[in-house]
Amino acid sequence: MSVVVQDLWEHLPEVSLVTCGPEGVRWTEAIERSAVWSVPAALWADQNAIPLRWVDGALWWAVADPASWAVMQARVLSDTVRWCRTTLFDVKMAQWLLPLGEDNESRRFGAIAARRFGLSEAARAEVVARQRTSGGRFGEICLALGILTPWQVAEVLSEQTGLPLVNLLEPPEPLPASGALDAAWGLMTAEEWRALGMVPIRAAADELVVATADPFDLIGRVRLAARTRQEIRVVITGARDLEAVWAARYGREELTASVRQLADQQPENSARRTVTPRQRLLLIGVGLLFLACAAWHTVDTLAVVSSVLTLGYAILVAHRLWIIDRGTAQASVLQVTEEDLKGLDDSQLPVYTILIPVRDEAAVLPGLMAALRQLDYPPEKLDVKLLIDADDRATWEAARSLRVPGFVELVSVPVSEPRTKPRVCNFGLQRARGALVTIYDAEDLPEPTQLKKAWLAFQRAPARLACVQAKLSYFNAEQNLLTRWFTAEYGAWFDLLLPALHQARLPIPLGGTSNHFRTSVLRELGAWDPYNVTEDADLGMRLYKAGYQTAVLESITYEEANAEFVNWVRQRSRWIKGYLQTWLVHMRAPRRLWRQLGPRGFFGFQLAILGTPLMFLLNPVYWLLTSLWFASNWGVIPQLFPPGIYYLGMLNLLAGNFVFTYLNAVGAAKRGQWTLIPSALLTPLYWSMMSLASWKALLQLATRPSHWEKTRHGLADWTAALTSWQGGSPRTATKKESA
Amino acid sequence: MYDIVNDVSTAVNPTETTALPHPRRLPESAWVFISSLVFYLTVAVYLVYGEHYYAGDALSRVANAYYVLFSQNPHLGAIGMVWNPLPSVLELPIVALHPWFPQVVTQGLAGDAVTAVLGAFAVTHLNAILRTFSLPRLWRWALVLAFGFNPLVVLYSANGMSDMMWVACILGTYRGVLGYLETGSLRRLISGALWLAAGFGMRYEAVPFGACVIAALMAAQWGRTERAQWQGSGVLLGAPIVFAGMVWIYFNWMLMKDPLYFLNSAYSNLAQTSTGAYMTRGIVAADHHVLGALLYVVRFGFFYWPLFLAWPLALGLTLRRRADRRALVLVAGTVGAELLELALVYQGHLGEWDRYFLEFIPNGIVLTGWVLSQAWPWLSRRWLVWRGMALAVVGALILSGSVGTYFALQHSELGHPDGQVIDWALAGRSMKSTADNPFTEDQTVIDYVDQHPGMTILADTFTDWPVVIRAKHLNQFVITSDYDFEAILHNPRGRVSAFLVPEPLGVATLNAINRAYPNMWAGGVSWVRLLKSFPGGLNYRLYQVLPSAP
Repeated sequence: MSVVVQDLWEHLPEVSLVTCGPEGVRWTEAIERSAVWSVPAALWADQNAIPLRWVDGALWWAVADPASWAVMQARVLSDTVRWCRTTLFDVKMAQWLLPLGEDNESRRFGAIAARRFGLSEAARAEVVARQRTSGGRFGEICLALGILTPWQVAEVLSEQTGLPLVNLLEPPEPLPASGALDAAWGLMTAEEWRALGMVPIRAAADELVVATADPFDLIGRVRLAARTRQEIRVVITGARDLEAVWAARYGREELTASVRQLADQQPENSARRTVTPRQRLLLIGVGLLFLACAAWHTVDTLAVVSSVLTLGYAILVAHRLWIIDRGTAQASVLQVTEEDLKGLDDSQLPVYTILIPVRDEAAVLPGLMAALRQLDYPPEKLDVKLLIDADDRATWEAARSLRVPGFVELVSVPVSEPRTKPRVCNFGLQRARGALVTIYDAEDLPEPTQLKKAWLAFQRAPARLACVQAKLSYFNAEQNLLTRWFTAEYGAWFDLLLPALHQARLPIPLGGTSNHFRTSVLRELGAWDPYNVTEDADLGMRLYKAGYQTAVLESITYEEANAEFVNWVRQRSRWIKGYLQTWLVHMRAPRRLWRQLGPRGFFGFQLAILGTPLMFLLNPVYWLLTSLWFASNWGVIPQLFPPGIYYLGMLNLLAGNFVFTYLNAVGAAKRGQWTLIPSALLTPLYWSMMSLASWKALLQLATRPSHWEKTRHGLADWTAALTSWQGGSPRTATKKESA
Repeated sequence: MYDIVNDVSTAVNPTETTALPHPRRLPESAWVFISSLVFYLTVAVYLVYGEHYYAGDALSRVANAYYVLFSQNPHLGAIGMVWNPLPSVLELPIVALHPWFPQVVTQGLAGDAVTAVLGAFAVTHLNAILRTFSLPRLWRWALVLAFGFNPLVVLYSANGMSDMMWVACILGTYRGVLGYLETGSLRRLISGALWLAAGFGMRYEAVPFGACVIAALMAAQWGRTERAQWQGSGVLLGAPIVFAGMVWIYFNWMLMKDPLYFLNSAYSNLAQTSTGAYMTRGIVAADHHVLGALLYVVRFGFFYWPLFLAWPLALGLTLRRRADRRALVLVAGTVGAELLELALVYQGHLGEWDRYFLEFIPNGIVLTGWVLSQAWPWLSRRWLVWRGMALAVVGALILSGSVGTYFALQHSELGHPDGQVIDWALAGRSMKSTADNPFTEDQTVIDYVDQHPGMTILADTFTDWPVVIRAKHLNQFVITSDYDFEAILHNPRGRVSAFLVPEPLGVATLNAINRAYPNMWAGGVSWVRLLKSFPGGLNYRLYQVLPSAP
């Protein structure tokens, strides 16, 4: 040993581990047990070293000899550690006295759980088997599989580590409130406390006690130590206890953020005010100009308007033809093969958050739970949040009466305006633990391997890929003509339109569910706009504006198609209203949008977001004019269409309608739903319904822009759908038998 | 601090997909297309300027496009509601060059250019189809050359007629349907469907052809895919052509007030053949005689004689168990392409033209290719000598099919009227002096009209188009497609100066003036005065409209 090292060694403070209260050391107990558990024993147990405690922003270690010190310095490369000298006897005695347990069978989690809660051998074997494939912790897996409750896991951990157990849900005595504790909460943001899985429960000038459900977590201790000079002690509590404390502490803040975050941080992207004063002025100006021109030269004015709209419509028809061409091309979506999935190492998978907003969905909850159980993803890495409105008693009762899997958390979402799905999702997102997050609706039946496929897609794609949209289809396609049309339309949308946009790198309006995000990007963008009733389409545009990419994944989520006319009109009018809302929001500054999206993106945005509703708004006008012409030969009508425009209009009416019809038929075929093709050819009837919904949407946009027309689910025979889905094909659900 | 990943999202190491750079080469289909196009365009220029060759119906189609853009009332309806409109529609952009380059109309170059493009498409489609048959390269190229240089194919790829356009649609349909059956690619099926619908835009033969191909497509999948799929694929293939047919009927109804105007019109095929102008010995023998009609049609199979071997062989091979059923489409398509001709000749309504049977050539070649593709695996296992001999003999046989076309055209009925055209073209003999050459005939009428620019003349373009398209000022004429043609025909006083009347013989009896005033040409109408007679051709007479006219 060099003289320098010897000199440094001798200058280390000295500590006695066995006899407490040595001179020069201000601790009353030399080793703080929670500090020992915070560092994997494998890191130090083979050396004459042991962690002492977290204090002064660092982890203090005791080492018995310079050789061990040198090894440990190499292993823990950081300036957030401090060293003390001690004797070999002290280290060995401490290592012996502490129940470090890996080689001590009786100290193992499984053994304790078996002893205390009767964990069976079979269950233990199942957990161990899962542990081998996914690499999760024993307790986490027990929890996820529903073998143990969160509190039982905490009790086992407490016994295993010897750390105190604290009941925060029903504390024997109220937790002391103090300025120091408030200051402790202020050390980190809500998001950080949640991410690290800790809550401060007691604070003094020189000591901070935090409760956690994971006594082995190192990162939390490191981050916390970096913020405070206080000594950090850790006690154990249950996962639900933590949630309760966070909810009590941050509930209001999170609620506010879920409503206002986007509007406050990016008002230009928020639909809190759908039409800005400038836009209103512009609209009024254009309206007045039109009226003035019409009063001056009525027919000519109408002819100009008609020409512009006809041209626009022709561009839409051409766009749809282009979609058929691009959408039917090979490799227009991300493909993940069975081989890819087989080669996947489950231990590499991240925690995946699934947000499921439910309102008045008591009837579909059992099916939802079954679908979630079918997911091919390590359950301990699932963070499913069932977001239930606080005042939705029926759904709460149904949820409580179910045997909810351990990885599902029931989250009570406080009632507030606007009562929209995106607000609920924003609330849930703040509690998300996953590196990836997705949304499913309550009636969704996602392909079981979808999460793995999405993760692999993210792994393989460029870093700018922020969202992966899975395809949607309906399990009750054959229920009636309406569901057949709806399913064929979805086929065209998800199998032709979105893949074409994906391939051409154009902005993609996301579908309502099964869109998978990198959580960090979603948070960075301010998540969903709670005031926008098609928050999904809007988010797709904001992703594109921010330079992120969206891709379409070859994986299907089956939903329940609306089988009732009125219910369908409500849903469709909301979608169309949302598209118009999204267009108005992003077109507040067209030049800026042009810069942000680029020319291609800008025109892609116009065609997808404005074009879709515009087409359905215009259809009845043209149909009416054509019918009037045939019925009355009214001379004004031909004057509305100058010669070239007349032919274009005729082409729109005939070829356009055919192209859209054919698009639906091809979409159904591409998805393998050949039975839908005859119905798809009747699509023009479906459009009359679309137009009805569009005009309703336009009127509602003016009167109640952020009103969310809730879609009723559970109209199909869910049990049959679920059974056949489990059998591999969900397309057999029919009408629900009346009770 | 420690070697621990603390945030899973940063653990994701995205990998950029990189593609290896590769030299850009012109795909085979592109150079096949380009070289065919250049060849056919060259032939077209030679035929027009070297041979003064014309194809009357082709020029008529160009004339229709000309009226759409340049008549007194430019409107799409001027394209005519009798013959399938797509050729004229495709010619519109080229006809638009008329003010700068009148020959696109007066020499029919617009039509020639379109046929050359479609002819090149036909060769490209054929090559693509044969590629999927896994034939030895020698045979494939022999088949492509046999088609591309077949005398009738060359002529019809350069003369502006719709026949080669229709053949391109047939091959496009086959390419799509066969591709779908082979790979399940919807893109290919849609492509086939669109070519089939385009075929309807070219020729009415597309209807029975489409029906046969759709039935064959479904039959080829029957028992091998679910019922919904074979039915659905048939619907997808048929939807565009059905739609095209409905649009055509709709336009007939909207513009001519008769949804079946294209069948019932005074200018229709039925009306023309009813004049007896096209009756030949063969057609007379087939009139309402099943065997006669069948024989009349089948003998045109000599346009590619290996068809007589390939068709039954293909049918037999396809009916085996576990056979490749793609050939069903070809077998049915070959029949379907001739069904309309069969029906018309049976009813005595078929024109005497050899071009109606041009489809035998592509069908014969594709069927031959398919049969050979079935034989090749067996042959390829034989000794090298046998294999080499087989390659050479069969290659020669393939080419002999197109040589056979030339000989078949020497037959007076099989080769009417193109046997002589091809002979003359090969001999470099000019057709300038041909009696009814629209490039040269009626020059006296045109000169007279051009010398009287103030005169407005009513002319039925059904027969008078060679005059109308070559006159300096189209707007001197009130033509059939003008909105007020019918009104002026019956009340001409003060609205036109004169009527141009062809002698009412043959199809000229269908001329609107002759139908309205059958005696006018002979001088039997009192309110007109003969201005001038133009002997030769249709023996035009120009009658001045007198103040006593209605």
